Amino acid sequence: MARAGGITNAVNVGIAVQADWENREFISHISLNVRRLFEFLVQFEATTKSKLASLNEKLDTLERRLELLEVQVSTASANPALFS
Amino acid sequence: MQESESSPHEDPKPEFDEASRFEKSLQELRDLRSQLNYAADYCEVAFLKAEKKNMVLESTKEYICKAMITVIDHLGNVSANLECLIDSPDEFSQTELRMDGLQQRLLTCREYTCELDLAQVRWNSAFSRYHPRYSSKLIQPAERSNGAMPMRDSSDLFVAESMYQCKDSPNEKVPCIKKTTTHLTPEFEFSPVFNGPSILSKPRSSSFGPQTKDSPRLRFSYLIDDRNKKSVQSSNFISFLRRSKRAK
Repeated sequence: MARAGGITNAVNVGIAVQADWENREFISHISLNVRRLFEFLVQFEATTKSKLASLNEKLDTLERRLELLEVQVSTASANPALFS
Repeated sequence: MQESESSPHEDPKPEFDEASRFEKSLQELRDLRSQLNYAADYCEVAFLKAEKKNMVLESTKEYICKAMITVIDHLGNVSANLECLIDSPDEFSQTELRMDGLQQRLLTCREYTCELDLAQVRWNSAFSRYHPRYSSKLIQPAERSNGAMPMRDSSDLFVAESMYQCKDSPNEKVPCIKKTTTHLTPEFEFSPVFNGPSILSKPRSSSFGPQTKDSPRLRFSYLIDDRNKKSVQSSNFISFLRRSKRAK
């Protein structure tokens, strides 16, 4: 009887250890995916920042060109002699 | 867990543009955060209160897997919408094309005005030629007090030449004054050329060329010669008188 009880305890311990390892594996998978998600977010932030910076630069260039054209058009319409 | 069922791609409304889709997906991601917090608290309480903890643990694992998938889906949706919102080269290219068109039109207008200005001063073989006698002369500074001002550059010379036109027949040397379109400031006045001997009707020297400010001294050198001749004659006469006195 005592021998059978020891075997049962050993089996239970083995099952518990296996379940613990499975839980640890699950947690490691989840943490790995969260890390990948974090890396994606960091990379996405950098890419978005660079794209927004280029977008801002383009908008500034367009704004300056538009202001220049507005001044030229207003000057030409106000005084055609100065246009040439 | 309450998964968000509505995604931007399933939205049947066609009037949703990219900006509104991005805003909607971002709002869904924010709502998902509160849902995940609420679900985590519920799982914790259920695990502590439940007798069969294995069942709660397994259900929590499944929920975590689904939540991860949902979060990644929403993040992908938000990033895709933001990418579409930022990478919109059509509007920029259209704006640049419009501005290039405006600039081209301005350049065309400028070239047209330059052509109009050049057509007034461009040489043409059909233009009439003028006798050099009627070309302009520089007026001496002494004559400025009378109201006449000297001409400064070749454009003034052109104006003067166009004012005094010589006709084809050599006998008719009466100057005829024409109206010119060349701009002339009111401070300049030109002395007319009369028939008969005068300073302006004096034949030109061989060094005829573009008139500058330095040339009047050469042009009026004959006046200085006359004065020198007179002074030489008077000195000769005085020396003759002295010789005659000595001889006496």
